[in-house]
Amino acid sequence: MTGSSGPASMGRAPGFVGATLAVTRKELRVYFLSPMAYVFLASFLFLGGLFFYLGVALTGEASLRATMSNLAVALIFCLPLVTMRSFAEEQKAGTLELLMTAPVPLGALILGKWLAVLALCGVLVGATGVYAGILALYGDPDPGVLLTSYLGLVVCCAAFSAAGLFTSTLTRDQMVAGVGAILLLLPFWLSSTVSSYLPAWAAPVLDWVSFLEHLRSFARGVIDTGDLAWFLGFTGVFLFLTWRSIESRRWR
Amino acid sequence: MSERVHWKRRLLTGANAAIVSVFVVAIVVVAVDLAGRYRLRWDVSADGLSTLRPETEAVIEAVGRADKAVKITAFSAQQKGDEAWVKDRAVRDLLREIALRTDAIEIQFVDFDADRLTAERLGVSRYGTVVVEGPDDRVDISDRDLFRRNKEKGWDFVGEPVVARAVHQVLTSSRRVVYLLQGHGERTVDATGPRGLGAWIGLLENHGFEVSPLDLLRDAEGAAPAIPEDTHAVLIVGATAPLAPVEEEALVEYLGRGGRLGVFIDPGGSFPRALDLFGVRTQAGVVFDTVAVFPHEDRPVLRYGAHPVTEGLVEGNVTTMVAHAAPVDVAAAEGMVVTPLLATSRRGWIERGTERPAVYVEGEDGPGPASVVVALEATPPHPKVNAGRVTRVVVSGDTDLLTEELIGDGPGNSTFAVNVVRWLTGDDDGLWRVGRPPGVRRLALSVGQLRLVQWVVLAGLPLLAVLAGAVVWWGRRGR
Repeated sequence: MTGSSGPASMGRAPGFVGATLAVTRKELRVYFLSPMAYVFLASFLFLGGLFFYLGVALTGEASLRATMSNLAVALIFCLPLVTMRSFAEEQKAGTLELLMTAPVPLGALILGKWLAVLALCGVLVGATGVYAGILALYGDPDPGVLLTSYLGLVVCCAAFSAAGLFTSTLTRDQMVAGVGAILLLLPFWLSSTVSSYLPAWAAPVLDWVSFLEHLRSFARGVIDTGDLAWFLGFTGVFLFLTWRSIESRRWR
Repeated sequence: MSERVHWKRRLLTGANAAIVSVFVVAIVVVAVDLAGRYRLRWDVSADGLSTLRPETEAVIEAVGRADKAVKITAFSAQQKGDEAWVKDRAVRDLLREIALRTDAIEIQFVDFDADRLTAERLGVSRYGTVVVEGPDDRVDISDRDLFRRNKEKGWDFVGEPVVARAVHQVLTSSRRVVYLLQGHGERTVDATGPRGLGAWIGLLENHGFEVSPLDLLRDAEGAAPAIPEDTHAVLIVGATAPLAPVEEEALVEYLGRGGRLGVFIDPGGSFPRALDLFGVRTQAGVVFDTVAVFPHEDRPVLRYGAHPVTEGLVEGNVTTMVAHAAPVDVAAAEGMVVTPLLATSRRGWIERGTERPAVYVEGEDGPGPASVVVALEATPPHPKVNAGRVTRVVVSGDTDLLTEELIGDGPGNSTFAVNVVRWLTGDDDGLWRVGRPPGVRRLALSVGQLRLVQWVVLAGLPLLAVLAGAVVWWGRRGR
C-alpha cells in the first residue's frame, strides 16, 4: 500500500468487501508492476521444475506426490519474500498510521493483503499446471490425486502467507520479517520428522502441529475435513494475530 | 504521575489483549482438534489409494471391541537410493490410515539408523521390519513380506493384508501346535542355510504356530506311539527312510479321527504308507513343463488349482517355485474332495529319462498335466475316516518350495507355505493373501522425451516468467 494513492483516496468509504477487494487490487498492481512477482515466479518455477523433473526421473510415477511436498518446502522459503514487505514496508515508510486512520476497516486491509498474496500464489499454482499436463501427456495420472494435491498446495499457500503477514507486522525491517516468517514456519514443517528422536508422548503433539502430517491425505487423493480444519485454523490464527499486532499500535 | 497512569493503562490494555489472544487461539486449537477427532474423509482417487480392504477394517474394528492394547512399530527401510523413500512412504501411509480409524492401535514409526535403542529393545536387527505387539503375543513382519519387486524393477507394497493378519494374530493370540516328524531323515526344525526350513518356520511362528519336532518312537518311551493330543497338524518334510509299522498305525489312527497331515517329499523319497488308504501315490520321474524358471530346467512354472490356499496367489498373479519335483497322484474315492494346488500345464510332462535338455518322449515319459501339490479332504462315508471332523491332507512332490532359498526367490512361496499349514490346521478364515498391490501409475517416457521435459520445466517456464517481467519493465521504463 505504499504510494501516493490508497483506500483513503478512493472517495466515499467503501463497504468491507469493497475495501478488501480494493486493497487486493492495489497490492496486485504493486506486485505485477514491480520485478518482485516475476523474480518470485521465476525462482519458484525453477525450483518446482527441478523437483518435478527429479521426481519423474527417479520414481517414474505419473504423480505429483513427491513434487508437491517439495514445492511446499520451497514455498516456506519463497513466500516470505513476498509477504515480508506487506506491513514492514508500510511501517518503515510511515504509511501504516495513515492507513489506520483511513476509512478502511483494519480487517479489510489485512484480508486484502492476504488475498493478494493468495492470488499471486494462484498464478504460481496455475503455472505448475504444466506439470500435470506433462503427466497426462506421457502417462495416465489419477485425476483425483492431482486435484487434491493442488488443493493441498493452495491451503499451504493460505497458511504460509498468513504467517508471513503476521511476521511483517512485528518489524519495520523487511529482511527480519522474511527471515522471521521462515523461522516461524520451519518448526511446523520439521516437527514430525524430529518426533522419532523425542519421547513417545511428544510424538502425537509434534505430528499434530506438523504441516507434513496434514498434507499426507491430500497427496493420496483424500479430502479430509480434519486436515482442512487444521489449515483453516492455522490461517485464521495468524490472520487474527496479524490483526491484534497492528491494532496494538493504537494503544502502544 | 500522568506518565505512571499512562504506563499502567498500557500495561492493562496489553495484558487484556494478550489474554484475549491466548483465549482465541486456545478456542481455535480445541475446535481444530475436535474437527480432527470427528473428521470426514472422501477418497476421490480413482484407485482408492486410501481405502482399506474390508478385512483390514474388520480387524481394526475387532481391536476396538476387544479393548486390548495393540502396538505397531515400523522401522525405516535401508537408506539406499530412492527405494527407502518409496518403501517408508508406503508403510507410513498404511499406518496413518489405521491410526485415523482407531485410537486402540498405537502406531510408531522409528528411524532404524537414528533410534537403535528402540530396535535393540525390540530385538529388531533388520531394516524395514514392522513389529506388531499384543498383550500376549508379537508378530515381526519382514520387509520381504511387505514388498514385492515389480516389472519396472521397483517395489509394490503388498503389506496391508500382512499387517492386518498380524494384528488379528496378536489379538487372538491362540498358539497352534504343529509337529515336524523326525527320525526318518527328514529336514530338521533347526536346519539353517539356503536348504534349511528356518524361513518357513519363522513365518509359521509369526502366524501363531508353535513348531516342534516329534519323534514318535523315541517320545513313546516304550509305549505305543501316538500323535499327541494337542496336535493341530503333523508335517513330514523330506523323509528318506520308511516309517516303522507302529508309526504308520499311529498316523492312520490320527487321520481316522480327523487328523491333519502335510507330507512333502522329493523324487525318490520315502512316502508314508498311511496315505495309501486315501489313494495317494507318487510316481517315478520328475515334473517338467515347457515354461521353466530360467536357467533351471527342472523348475517348471506351475499353475494354481482353485482352492482357498491359492486364492490370494491367483489374485496377486505370483508364482510359487518348486525345484526338481515329483508328480503326485490321488485316486478319487467316495467321501473325498481332491484339489491339485500346483500342477503343470497340459504341455507339462513327467520326465523319466536322463537326457538334457529334457524332452517329452511318448511311451517313456508320463503325459501332463501333472500335479505337484495336492490337497484332499476326507469325511465319512470314506472308509478310513471315523469321526465327524474333516480329515485334511496336503501332499507335495517337492520339499524345496519350503526352503529358505525358494521362500526368498519365489514370490509366492512364503504365502503358499504358510497357507498350506493354516488350511491344514483349520485356520482358513481369511487366508493370508498376497493381494493385488495398489496401482502405481507410471510414465512412459523415452530418453528424448525426458530431456524435453527437463528443458520445459527447468528452463522454459522460469524463462517465461522472466520474459513477462522484462516486458512489464520495458513498458514502464521512463515512467
